[in-house]
Amino acid sequence: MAGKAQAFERPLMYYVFIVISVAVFLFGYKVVSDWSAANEKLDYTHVANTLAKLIKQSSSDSLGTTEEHTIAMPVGVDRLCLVDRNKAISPFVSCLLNLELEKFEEKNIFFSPFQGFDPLQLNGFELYEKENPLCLKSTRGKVPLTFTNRGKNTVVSTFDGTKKSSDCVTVLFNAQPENALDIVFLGYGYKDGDEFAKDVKKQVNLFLGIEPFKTNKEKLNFYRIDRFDDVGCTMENWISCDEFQVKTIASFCPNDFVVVLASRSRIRDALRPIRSSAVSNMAKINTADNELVLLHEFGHLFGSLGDEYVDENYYLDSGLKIADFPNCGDPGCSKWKGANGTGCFKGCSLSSFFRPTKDSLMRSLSVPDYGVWNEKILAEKLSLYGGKP
Amino acid sequence: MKAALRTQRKTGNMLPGPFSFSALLVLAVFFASPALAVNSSSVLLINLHYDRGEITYKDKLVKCGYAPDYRIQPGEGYVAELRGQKDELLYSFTFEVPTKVVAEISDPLFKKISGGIITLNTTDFVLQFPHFSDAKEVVVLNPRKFKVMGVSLQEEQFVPQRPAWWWLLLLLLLVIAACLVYRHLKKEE
Repeated sequence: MAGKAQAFERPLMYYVFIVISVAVFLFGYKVVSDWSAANEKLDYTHVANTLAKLIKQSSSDSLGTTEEHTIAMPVGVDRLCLVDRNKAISPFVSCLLNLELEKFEEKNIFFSPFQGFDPLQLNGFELYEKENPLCLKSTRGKVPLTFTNRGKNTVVSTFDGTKKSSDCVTVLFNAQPENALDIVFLGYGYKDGDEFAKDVKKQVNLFLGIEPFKTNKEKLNFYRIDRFDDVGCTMENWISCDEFQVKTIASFCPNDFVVVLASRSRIRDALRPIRSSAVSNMAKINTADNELVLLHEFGHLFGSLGDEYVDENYYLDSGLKIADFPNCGDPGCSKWKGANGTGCFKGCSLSSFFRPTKDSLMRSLSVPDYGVWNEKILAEKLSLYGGKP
Repeated sequence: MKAALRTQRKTGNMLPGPFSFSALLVLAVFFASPALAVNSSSVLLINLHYDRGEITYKDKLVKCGYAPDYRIQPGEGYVAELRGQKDELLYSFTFEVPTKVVAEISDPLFKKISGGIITLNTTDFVLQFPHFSDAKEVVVLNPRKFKVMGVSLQEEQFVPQRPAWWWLLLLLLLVIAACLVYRHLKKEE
């Protein structure tokens, strides 16, 4: 009997041992998780305390004094976003932040990746209207901030503009996207964000300087995306890009039309010319080309305008019909007959077709002018966009 | 997928634990209103391939962002439709397969431009829709209004993560086994 009991005692001991081990393991796991969560909480508290302290400190400085500070971020944070709930908040800085702003209506300090970190609430600061929200990239766990005493509140900004982070940079915003023609620029082959910004600005100014866009500028919004991820472009004879990649990136901004600016030196292009191209709602522009080439390509995309130059190498066997383009007509020019400022000039893609004006942006890049008939066609398309509110 | 399929926070003091979180989701699914829910800040991108008249599906993506408003559409062409759970039409637009590429070269000095249309036999292209949480399928109709392709969106629906029950089960089994051995031992005595 005693022998049997002894025989059973051993497995019982094993089972008890296993149960205790599992219990100890689970308890240990819980303790470690709690400790880790507490540490993260400590980090948050630290950031909130530091910001609150610096804001308070700034408010005791003399009016207008700016202090620069570098704030340490909790481990894993790649961006810090501050939001001024009392001012208009740009919806384009961070699409994911917008969702957080809806979810946490009281909070004004957010850490990216947003799904991993709880937001905080802090009082006593404001942001510049053009920097709301202010999202800053964390470099080596730190973000650069400035605190300026503006009397009632402390204005928080940054002393390093290169650390500003935005999914979509608004170049010119005139109307709500649902009422506007939204054009977004992407860069390919740029090594320098400033150079890209400069090229975009130049193109936007060209748009705004030409009719019918000039008198309809309240219907136009321009954006750029300052991330130079691989958009899958290749430059063989013409610029060709992976549409899925381009549109995935372009969708960070409202994007009725997408322009890819492909940076290329003029010397390189003189040795091996690359064509700019237009297809669907996307133009791909070689920056070594004449600066008016985007307006020409946009005439194709937006107005379905045909080329008014003659290049029969391309067009002779293309099965082109007069009905394909609103600006190419029969010898009688019946499409625009009687319209002011128009004529009937031979040559419009094919030598057998006729065009409405002697010269225009659709014929050459020597005149920054679409011509009256083409302007009318483009203006009709623009009338589909209401502009504000 | 970035925005739409997010689950829970790492240090969620506002959210309950994984079990009650899942329970809440289940309840939310049960009591959800059948009304259409359009999420204007998310976009659905469908990557397609065209080869000599045949359209095939390549890839899809739901992400935070914007879709074009399609104010300018061709008079006739292919039609892209987004269909809901009851096959109702949620969104549609007409499009042309982008096989006609205008490729041009300009002379910066003499300001001349030349080139023209290149017709491609094969190309990839993308359809963009605003993301509807209750969308079931993307349908493409050819210019004669025949369905040439459908892309199911069912797997885009949120599937709540199952809580890790295995360790509780293991613990329970161990306790039961220990009890049984103990009872058996007692009986033998």
